[in-house]
Amino acid sequence: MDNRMDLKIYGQGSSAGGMFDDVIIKGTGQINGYLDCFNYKVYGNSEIDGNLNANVVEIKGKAEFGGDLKAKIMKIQGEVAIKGDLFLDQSLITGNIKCNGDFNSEKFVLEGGFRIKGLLNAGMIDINMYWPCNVREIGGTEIKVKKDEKFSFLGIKNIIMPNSSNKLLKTDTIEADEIYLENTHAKTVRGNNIIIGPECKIELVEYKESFKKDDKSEVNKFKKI
Amino acid sequence: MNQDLISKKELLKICGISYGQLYRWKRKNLIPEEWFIKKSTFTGQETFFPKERVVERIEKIKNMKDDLSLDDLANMLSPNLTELVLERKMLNEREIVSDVTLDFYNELHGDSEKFIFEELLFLYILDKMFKSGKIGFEDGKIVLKLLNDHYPKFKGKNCELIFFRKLGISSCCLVTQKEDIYFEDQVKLIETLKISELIEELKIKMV
Repeated sequence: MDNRMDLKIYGQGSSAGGMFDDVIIKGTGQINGYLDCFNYKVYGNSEIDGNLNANVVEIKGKAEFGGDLKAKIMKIQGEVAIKGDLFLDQSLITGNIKCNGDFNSEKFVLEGGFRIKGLLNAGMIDINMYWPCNVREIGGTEIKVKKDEKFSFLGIKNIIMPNSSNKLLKTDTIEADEIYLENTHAKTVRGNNIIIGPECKIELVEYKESFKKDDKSEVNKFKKI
Repeated sequence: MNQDLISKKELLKICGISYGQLYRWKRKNLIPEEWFIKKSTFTGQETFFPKERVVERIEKIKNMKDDLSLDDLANMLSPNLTELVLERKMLNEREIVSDVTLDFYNELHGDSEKFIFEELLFLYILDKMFKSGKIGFEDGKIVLKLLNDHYPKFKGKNCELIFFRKLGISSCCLVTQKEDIYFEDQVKLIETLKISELIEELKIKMV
């Protein structure tokens, strides 16, 4: 790196942004501008007005982004809101994300919930639902959507307050080569091999090779193409 | 001019690719966002593509993906101008731009030995138009001025150059979507060039 400095905020502070080596925020940090850095780590609370371009993004706590986010690896434990689009190689999320644009990632592993206004586009999608999930469209190679497993950390809230949230994935279309779904409400599902697990409501399924359906699910129409 | 559209389902069938591949190429920006056209049909929303362009693009990707990594391909296909600098003698060696056009350019802009990609692109366009015999040097000046003044404003988006004449007077313009432009009867369209295609051609010649 060409003489880049670190930016560290402990406690409370703000910065105008710019190019850095590592950016570490422990406490509350506000970046008024764009950020270009190697590592972006947040333990606590943070806000960036502009775009973020980083190698590794690690967030434990809460983060808000006013623009687009580009990174190789993104690890989130907590809550994240993004106004723009995301371009990632790997994303590991435990918690909740909100995204106003498209979510692009080669690998997308999520435990928790999300609301994406655009398209969720990923090679491998693995969703473990604890809270409601909303997305306009999903596309990719391999998609797996599962209801929560009871004995994980995030499940505690659901055990204490059963029926406190309706764990449901709502979307218009899902298109991928391999698809497995649970607790999903969708208008159209298209793919090569499709398995519809329990508690799904789907209007139309179009498959190329194989299609299986659980008895506890409703599928209005299905056809082979 | 209404272009032919093709639905996503048909596209996959014609080209013999899977959803996974299509979405991966979209992620890598090999297929531009503007080509994904959302339309509502009786089964809900569906995605359509401009048929000719997308089929051609997918064939190109299928042919080249064995030799190049997807990232290299994306670099080559994206209309963003790369930061490449070529020297004058390289231009001659690789037959990118003819001497006549180079002299014409140097006369207007002073002698230079090195060219950045954007200049190269303008030269390439001019060269193409001169060689086809459709425009003369006087017209070339207008085209070059138009490109210099306004092309950077497109910031890498696809656009087309239209050159036309009316009653012997020539003029030209840059538009993003040619489908939405109409001329009166007396205007003769002399040449329309898709800049993004020229960029691809030029990049292939430069590698």
